[in-house]
Amino acid sequence: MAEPMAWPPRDEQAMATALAEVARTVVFPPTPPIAVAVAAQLREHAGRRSRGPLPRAGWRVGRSLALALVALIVLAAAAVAFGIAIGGLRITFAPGTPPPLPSGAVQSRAFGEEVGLDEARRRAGFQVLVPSLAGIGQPDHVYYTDVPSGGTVSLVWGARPGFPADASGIGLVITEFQAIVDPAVWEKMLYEGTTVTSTDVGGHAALWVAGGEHTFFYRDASGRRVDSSLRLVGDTLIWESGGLVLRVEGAPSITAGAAVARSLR
Amino acid sequence: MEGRPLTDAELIDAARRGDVAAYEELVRRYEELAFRTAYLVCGDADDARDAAQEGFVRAYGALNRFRAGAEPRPWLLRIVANAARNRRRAAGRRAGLALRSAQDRPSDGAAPSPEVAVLAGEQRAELLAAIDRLGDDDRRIITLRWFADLSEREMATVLDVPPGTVKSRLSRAMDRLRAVVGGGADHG
Repeated sequence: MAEPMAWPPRDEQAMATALAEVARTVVFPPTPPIAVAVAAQLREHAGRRSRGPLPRAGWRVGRSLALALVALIVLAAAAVAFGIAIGGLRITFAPGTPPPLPSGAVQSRAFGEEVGLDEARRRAGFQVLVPSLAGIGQPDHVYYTDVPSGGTVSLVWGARPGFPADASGIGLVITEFQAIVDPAVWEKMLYEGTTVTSTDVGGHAALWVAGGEHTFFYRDASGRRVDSSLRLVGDTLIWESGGLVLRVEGAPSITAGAAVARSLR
Repeated sequence: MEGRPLTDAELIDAARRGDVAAYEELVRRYEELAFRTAYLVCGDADDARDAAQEGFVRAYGALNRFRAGAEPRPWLLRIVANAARNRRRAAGRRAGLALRSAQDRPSDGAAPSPEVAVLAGEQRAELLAAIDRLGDDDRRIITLRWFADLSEREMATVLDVPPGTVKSRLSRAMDRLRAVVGGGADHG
C-alpha cells in the first residue's frame, strides 16, 4: 500500500504526482458521437451536390482544374479590387462542405460581447460606421470582440424591408475591423458554388461573394491565421476603406448590398 | 481481403477519394481526444462538441492539403483547437470546468486501487477545485498536460504559443497551483 501523500504538495514534483493521480480518475463530460454527426453532415452535403454516387477521381480532377482556373481569375479580380495596398488577397476553393453553423444563438456566439453602439464606439480603435439607408434604422444588436487589434464591431439587424431574416432571425450584418495591411495576407475560403464579382463602393474596390457558404480568414502581422467569423448570414459584400475592412452580409442582391454600403456614415 | 484495421494513412487516402465512411472511422479514432481538448480550451461541453465537429468537417475540406505520410493527430488537433479558441473568444466569458474525480461519486461502486488511494478523495476534490480557481491560461496548460495527456509540442499547438515557452509556462502554472492549494489564494 502506498504512503499517503503529504498535503499540500511540497514541490513541483509532488504536485505532478498528485495531478497524475487525479488524472487517473478525472471524469470528463461524455464524448458526443462526433464521428456520426460529421459523417451525416458530409453525406448530406454530398447529397445536395450530387444525386448520383460520389464523383469519381477523374471527374474530381477535372473539377479541381476548373476550380483552379476560376481561382486564378478571381485572384486577378482580387488584385484589381484591392491593389497592392492590402497585400495579397488569396482566394482558394475548398472541396467538401463548409463548416457547420454552431448551435445556439448566432448573436451570443460569433460576434463577441453584446454592447451598445456607444460602448462599441468607445472600445473600437476606429470610427464605427452605421448605415443611413431608409428602413434599416439602428441595429438591433451591437457586438464587440477584441480580435484583431483594434477590435471588431458587428452590427446585427433582424428582418427589415428588403432584408428578410434567415432561420436564426438575422436579416443583415455589418462587420467592421481593421486589417493589418502589410504583410498581412487575407485568405477567403470559398466553397463550391460560390461566385465572386468585382464591384465598387464609393470609389473603393469591393468584392461581392455570392451563391455559396464561405468563411473568412486573414493573417495578422505575425502571420497567424485568424478566423474572423464563421457566422455569415449569406451573400457578402466586402471592401476596404482607409484601413478599415467592412462586410455587409445578408443583402439579397449586389445592388441592395451596395446601397447599404454607400449609406454608411 | 485483409482483416486488419486500416491505418490512419489509408483512411485519409480513402477519404480523399470521397469515402465518407473512411473519414468517419478516422474521426472516431480521434473524437475523444478532440472533444476533451476542445472542452479544456473552451470550458463548455456544447461548445466543445461544436468546435470538434466543425474542426473535423473543416479538416475534411482540407484533406488535399494534408501532407502524405504525416501524423494526423497534430494536424487535427490544430484545426479543432483553432475552432475551440474562436468559440472561447466569441463567447466572451470565463470558462469554468466541471471536472470531477470518479472517486467523488458515491455511486461509482468500484473500490479504489492502492495506487489511486495515495490521495484521499477530499484531496482530489480540493485539487480539482484549485485548478478551477486558477486563471484561464494556467488552468488550460495544466489540464492539457495532465488530463488530456498532450505533449509539449501539442500543447503549443493547442494554446497557440511558441513550443519553447510551454515548459516554463507549465512550471509557473504549477507553482501557482501549489500556492492556491497551500494557501487558498485565488488566481482567477
